[in-house]
Amino acid sequence: MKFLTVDMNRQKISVRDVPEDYVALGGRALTSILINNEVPASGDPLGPENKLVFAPGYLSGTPLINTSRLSIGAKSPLTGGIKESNVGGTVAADLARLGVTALIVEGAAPSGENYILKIDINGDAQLIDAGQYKGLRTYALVEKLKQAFGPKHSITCIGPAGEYQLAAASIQTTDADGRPCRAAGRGGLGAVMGSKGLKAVVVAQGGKRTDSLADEDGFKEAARAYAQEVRANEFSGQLLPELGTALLVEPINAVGAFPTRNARSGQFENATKISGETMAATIKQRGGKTTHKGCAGCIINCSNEYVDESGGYVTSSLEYETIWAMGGMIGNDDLDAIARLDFLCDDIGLDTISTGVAVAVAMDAGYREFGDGQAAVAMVEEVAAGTDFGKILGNGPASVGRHFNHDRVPVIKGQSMAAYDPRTIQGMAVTYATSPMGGDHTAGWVVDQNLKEFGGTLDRFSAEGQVEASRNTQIHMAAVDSVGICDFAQTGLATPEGIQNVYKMIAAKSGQPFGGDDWSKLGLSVLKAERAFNRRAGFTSKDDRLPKMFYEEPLPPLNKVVVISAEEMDKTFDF
Amino acid sequence: MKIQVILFGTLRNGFPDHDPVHGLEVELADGSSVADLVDHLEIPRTRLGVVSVGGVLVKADTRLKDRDRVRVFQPIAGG
Repeated sequence: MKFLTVDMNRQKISVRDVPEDYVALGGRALTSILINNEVPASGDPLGPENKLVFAPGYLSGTPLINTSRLSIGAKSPLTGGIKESNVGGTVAADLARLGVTALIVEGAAPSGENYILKIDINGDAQLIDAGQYKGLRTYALVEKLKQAFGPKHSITCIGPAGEYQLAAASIQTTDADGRPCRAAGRGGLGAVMGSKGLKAVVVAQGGKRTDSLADEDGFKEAARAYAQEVRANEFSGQLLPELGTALLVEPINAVGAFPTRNARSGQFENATKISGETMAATIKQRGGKTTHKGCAGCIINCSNEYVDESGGYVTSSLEYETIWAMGGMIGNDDLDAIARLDFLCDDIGLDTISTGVAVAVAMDAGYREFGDGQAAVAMVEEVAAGTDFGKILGNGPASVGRHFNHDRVPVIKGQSMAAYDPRTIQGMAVTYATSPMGGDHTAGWVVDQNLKEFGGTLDRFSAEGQVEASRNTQIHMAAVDSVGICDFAQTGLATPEGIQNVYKMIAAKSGQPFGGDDWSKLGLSVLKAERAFNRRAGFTSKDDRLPKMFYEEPLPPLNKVVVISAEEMDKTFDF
Repeated sequence: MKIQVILFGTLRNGFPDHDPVHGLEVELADGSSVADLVDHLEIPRTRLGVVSVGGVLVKADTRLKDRDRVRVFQPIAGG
């Protein structure tokens, strides 16, 4: 249980026990509360006053399945507010096994200097000059770092987009096969890492310094029961392994909520060509992997390996949000082009959602034709080349909108929405508008609650009950992101007995009682810290609104608009 | 009457003849509803999400017509 602090100004590393205020916190709770306490809200996100915090979930590194989730936090250069970006792979489990509760990167290296932070098997850290790796894309970088340090390391790094400090830059991290294909995509945290002069964090695998469990037997019993639930559930036990998150393409398109051609329509006429079913059949026929383990300790295997016609690796993992952003959103029905764009974003270090939506805004402004996948590939390559247009694109959709003086830009607090149009799923309007993260789907995914056909109880075209549903889900998700349970393994906590198992494990680790009230308190404390930071950064209730296109342009074919009023939006955080 | 049915997700696993593009052809009595079709396919209600005909969402009691193209989805969860 230690905080590892890296002062990039002087290249000094210090270690201290976890301070009392942060004991029993992990993941998003730790990053958001620490940033709210220590980062000046009015400061420059790319200045030395910002801090970049890496924190495994509270349950990462324990015997519980599907808990290799890393929260990365900072003030965001994309939104100007607080940010927690969550990523899988192996690094969270590895940091936890070295006893690292948080890695805090402060200051900034002198201009032009570039470093790698290496944490060895004893948990000792050192900064190494990385001048020779400057400008490398992530796949090439990871290969060189594995040659230099050996294969048994998790590598978390930035590509050219992060080095250019672009606002849609991601932080990439390696998966179970050592490929840098897992992205902390949202919020431009790759730019913050670039501003510090930090190219990569290399973490030794197989550490034996995991936090002790106060009640090991009790923990293991609850963890076993949890894993059984996840396996037995059809969604996490069968659907996700077979199709991955791409299973959502057809049903979300069917309900008219698949934003198409920069959200000019809610249905893409060629959705079947890019559906999860088509993707899985294509991968199988070419000899790729439809079921693939991407993260340490995963039993769901929702990942895949997409291959080309000759069976050669293209990318891992092709997912719903990327298929939307690089597919329907830009009118592109070429699955191979989507897979290429996914790889390019991982390799250059870009968020696929923000980048796809930025391309969509450029196409909507007439810069290129909708549907031209190869034009999209060329545009994304410009980011790596560092051209003027590449920098405009790499700064995200709002930047592209400003450049073309185009006002159809689907962003909230500067960050693009995701693959659910809020006009036909009103609950997502509340989450997009009010989340302290900006346009974000994981912060409060209420799609299932909005679709009666999927067991939901809300009318997806009505405002009734939407604020409450979004509020409750945002509180719950803030807690989930703090303990570090994978979003898709939430099938294990969907029942009353399932969530009790989570409380039991938290109590069995900390040695303190933990129950349902504590869970809500945890989620609330996170949202309150994030909201407080954003208020000090200058956000007001006017920032908790959607762009006017969602209120004024009916979405074909159902021709709905967002009906949640400003007064209702403002009730979301009445707590 | 003949109905063309396309099943999504793992619903199609029980139907080896299911074609990825054209799905299955099912013979039903005239006047059958969506619920009748689902019963005919022996899909439990707990595994049933949205059903659409010709791209429009329909309810369980919607009457089907000869040559309708029906798409049957599973419930979804997660983000």
